[in-house]
Amino acid sequence: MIKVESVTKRYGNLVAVNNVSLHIRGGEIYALVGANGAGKSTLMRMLVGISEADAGQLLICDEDLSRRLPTTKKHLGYLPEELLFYDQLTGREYLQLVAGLKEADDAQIPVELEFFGIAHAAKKLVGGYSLGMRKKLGLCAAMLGSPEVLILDEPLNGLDVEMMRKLRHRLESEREAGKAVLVSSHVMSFVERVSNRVGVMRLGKLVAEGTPDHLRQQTGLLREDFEDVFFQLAE
Amino acid sequence: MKKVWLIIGASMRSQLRWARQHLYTWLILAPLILGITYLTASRLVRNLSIADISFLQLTVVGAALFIGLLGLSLSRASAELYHQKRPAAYFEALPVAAHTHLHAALLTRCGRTLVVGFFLVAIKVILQEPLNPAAILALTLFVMLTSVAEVFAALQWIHWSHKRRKRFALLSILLIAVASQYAGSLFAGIFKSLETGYSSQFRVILPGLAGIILLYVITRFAHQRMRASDVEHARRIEAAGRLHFFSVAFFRRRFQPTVAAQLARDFQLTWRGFSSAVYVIALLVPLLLATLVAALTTHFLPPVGRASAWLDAMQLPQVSAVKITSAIITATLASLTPVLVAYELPHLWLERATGASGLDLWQAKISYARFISVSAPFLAFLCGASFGGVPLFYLLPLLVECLMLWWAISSLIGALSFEMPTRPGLALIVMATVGIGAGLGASFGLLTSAFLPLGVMFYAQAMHGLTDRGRARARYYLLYGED
Repeated sequence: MIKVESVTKRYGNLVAVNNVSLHIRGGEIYALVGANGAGKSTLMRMLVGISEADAGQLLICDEDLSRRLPTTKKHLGYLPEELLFYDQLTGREYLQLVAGLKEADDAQIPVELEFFGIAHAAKKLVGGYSLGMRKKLGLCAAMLGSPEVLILDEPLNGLDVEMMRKLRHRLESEREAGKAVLVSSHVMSFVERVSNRVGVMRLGKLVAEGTPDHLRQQTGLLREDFEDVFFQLAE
Repeated sequence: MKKVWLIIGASMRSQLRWARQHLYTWLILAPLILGITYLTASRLVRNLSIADISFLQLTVVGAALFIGLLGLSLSRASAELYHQKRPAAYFEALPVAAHTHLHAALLTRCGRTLVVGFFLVAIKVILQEPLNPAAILALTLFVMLTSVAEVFAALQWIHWSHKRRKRFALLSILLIAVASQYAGSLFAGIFKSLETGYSSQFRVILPGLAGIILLYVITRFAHQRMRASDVEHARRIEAAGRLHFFSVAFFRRRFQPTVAAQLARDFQLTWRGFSSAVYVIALLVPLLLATLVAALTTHFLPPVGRASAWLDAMQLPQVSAVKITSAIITATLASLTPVLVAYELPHLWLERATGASGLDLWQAKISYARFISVSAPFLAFLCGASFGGVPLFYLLPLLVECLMLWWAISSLIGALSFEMPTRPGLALIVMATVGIGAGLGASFGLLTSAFLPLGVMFYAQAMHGLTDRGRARARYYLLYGED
């Protein structure tokens, strides 16, 4: 569903993403981990068409992103790291706007609002939302239209423990439904529990890739925290 | 097209709700701006007598207006097109075609340029000229051509800063130059629609229409090709293009580190438009200067009499007009201080945590009021010296008087900045009134050169009391926050 072939992205002299290749099949959750500035968000932005790769190829559901067809993005649900909303729109109005642009059914809006626990604030202006509520609204927007591919950049930031657990279950059910999920996070316990495969990025390069068990075996840290596994791989 | 309306609808709804929350802007500042604009325009128009201006001269004025609008809208048009740091940036990840973004930006531009259109209609009304269909058509085409050109210029501007393709840039400048000629002709057509026959109108309108279509086709083609590579660059230049001359080091030469850091932050926030009041004030200042120029160059003021003595020259209407304008511009610019204080009030924990005192806070704000308004006396003086009948021997005293007015008014407004920080709207009105009142009073005597010793004594006494009170007020808000 997601195919990244030898993708490179430069900002002047800085190589933000350096010859990265990865494949994510349907029914799989792929976690991207790495320190700040490792290139995770840049790769994700390229995958949703916000940024353009300098070299390489990006395919979503076998459609080449470089052709910039709006239909390609119909398969996508995206949660950006930096959430910007119209502060003077209510949560419901914002989701109606996103549903309209995605050509999704409005009937899904109350379902998502209820699931993410912000139905009570649906008629309030987004400007009055807390960080967690804004994140939940972003997640609602990403889920609208039931996309086949979910790309979630740091979805746990600002979420409470209960919602983290709920999100994990939701991602697992999306995987059961045959969808491809690419998620970036710094919460290693979440990454280990939810993902089928983990990709470790460092200075723009994909330095390690495999199932959590495989990465444990690779580092020889079978009983330690997954955080230690990450540190060993990322160093 | 449905998606274009969805994007524009969301933006408009958001802006209307914002406007509802800032009613004071509309009820007080909007009539003020519209009033000054109307009075200035009507004065200029009546005195200039458009009938005496040739079609060619009007074409040049129209072309200059067109280029000016393009230059002023570059930043905003690029933000509307590429949504830098805006909620619409998310739409890049949604199934929205590139031309939908373009059309949304074009319609937004049309809406904004329409304001200029209404302004031109107002001039026609002042001239008591009928708005015939040919004039309306020329006006509509002028607005459309300007809007398309604004988007085209923004597109090329971002592309140039990214790729530096000289041939491409030259071609774009050439296109803008040709478009400005058409825009100038359309502008002239708005005012000369009755005098020129239908065949002449046809010769103006048809090329204008063709120009709009051609420019739109080129813009759409260029946008389709360049959007993917330029959209992220636009976002990055917004982040990188900060000016650094408001640095702490600049202010440290004169102030204590705590005050210098606050001042640097205050000016950085102002430069980045922390409030809509910054834009309103940036608009008001040129309007006030235009009003002064209009007053000095028309028959609004009595003719300049012979002034051979110091006191005679001091009371000349032209000299008074310069001093009054200097006072009003100073008060206008310094009025940003209470708005800034209100904006920063929720973040005072930073000052609290770093051990800043009430006096530090107060000094930073009084210095801000002085710095932000320092251009006022020079601008008013330059207008007066260039257009007014100020006697040569009184030029230097006039500059000194303007500088004294600036110092007194900005200090007064800065000193009062912590008086009502939770009510910035009210504070803005009160302080502007107090400042202007003091300025008007001073310009007719108290602080002027004739009563200089008295003025200095009065200032010293008043500032002593204000310093104590200002320090206490700042300390109160530092300790107890908004409560």
